[in-house]
Amino acid sequence: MNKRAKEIYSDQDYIEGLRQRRNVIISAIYRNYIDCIINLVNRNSGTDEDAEDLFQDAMIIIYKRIRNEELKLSCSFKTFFYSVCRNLWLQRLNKRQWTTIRINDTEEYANLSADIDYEIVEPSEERKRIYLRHFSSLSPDCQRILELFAQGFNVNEIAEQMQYKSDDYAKARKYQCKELLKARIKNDPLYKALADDEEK
Amino acid sequence: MKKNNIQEQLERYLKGVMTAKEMKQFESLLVKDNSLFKEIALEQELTSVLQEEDILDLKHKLDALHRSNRKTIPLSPVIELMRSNLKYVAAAAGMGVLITAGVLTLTPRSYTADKLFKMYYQPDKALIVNRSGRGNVNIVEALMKFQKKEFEAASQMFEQILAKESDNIALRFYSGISYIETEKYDKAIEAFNYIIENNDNLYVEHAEWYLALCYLKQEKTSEARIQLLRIANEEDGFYKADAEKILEKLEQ
Repeated sequence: MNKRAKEIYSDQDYIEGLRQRRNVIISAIYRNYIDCIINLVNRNSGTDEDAEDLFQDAMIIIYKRIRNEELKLSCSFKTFFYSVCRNLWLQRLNKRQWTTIRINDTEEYANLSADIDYEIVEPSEERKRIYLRHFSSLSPDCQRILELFAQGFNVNEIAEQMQYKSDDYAKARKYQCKELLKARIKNDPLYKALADDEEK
Repeated sequence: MKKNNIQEQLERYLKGVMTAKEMKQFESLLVKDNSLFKEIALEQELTSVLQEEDILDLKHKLDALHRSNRKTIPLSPVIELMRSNLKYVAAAAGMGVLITAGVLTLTPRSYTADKLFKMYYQPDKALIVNRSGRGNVNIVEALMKFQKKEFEAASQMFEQILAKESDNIALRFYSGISYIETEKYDKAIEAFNYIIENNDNLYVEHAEWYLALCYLKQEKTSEARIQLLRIANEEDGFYKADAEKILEKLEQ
């Protein structure tokens, strides 16, 4: 996709494309917005990697709102996207430093509605974002086997689908993958910070 | 209670498939053990996340974008040296995949394991990653079997050595190739996954590629697609172009 494509999508295209999880739209949003998110994070004590995580998390939050017919834009898609990232980042800075942070803004932002702000700060939602991040770090067969188990397939069906030689192997592999995923989650500093908050 | 037993109990408890007696016992454990209580909460939330197929689909697509955007990390001179040699391996491996009339046929024997061996097994370089390689007669013997294409014997020897030296990533890689050669794809997948999960090593990129080939050979197209996407989105990856070609064919 060339750079001229930046011009051709409207906010409505973004919303509809994201609803359908179309690659071309996801790529366009990424190409058009990632630099401003990296800029925001870099200017506010974060790394490029933090910005990538933030971008993905914001995309998923916005996708869920579109899917659930809960997205009502009162500003441009770009301002909305930036505002979601901004509030998410503010929340993470607070978790890291235990102080109130003032964001050094790089773009115009909007005040988000209470329900979307709630989703951003709600610990259980933040934990889910952590789970997804670590799930992505697993090998494809680990990802697949955990997905199949979560979707209710039994060991026998999974062994067959994954072409494992025995049910026991499928069971052992699932255990291995789950343990690896849980270990990574439990070692995540943000997960630990959330757990500490809950114990207070 | 053993760890995997706890995991099994957690799952059975959450699925509601325990007997009344089992449930009573488990709940009495829960009351006493706060960590078990936290495990339950984690298990429950994790399961709900993994059940959202549309979110996982979006996440896979975002990961692919993320990988393509990842900046190249400067490599040490040793790794650069390895990389320059490995380009030939990539070329050899690329020839291993034939796509004909919509049917994907993998010809594992055509990727020339012999050539692969020659590229990898140059003692100076092999020893860089093989801490215990020097002077270990068994390893040399196993690698000689590999070179002579006696893959059955080689893989048996690799298994014996790996039982004692499970973290020898180089041998793990050769064992994976031997398993492909002897058509033990499950074991090959296991070997390559081990390498990938121990992320920080020189063989990851190659393990990722051979893992994708194993999935294709087994017609696990969903896993293959995820794996090929990871490879295709790797900036300057040795296997990037081949992965893209296969992905295109899989879309047809």
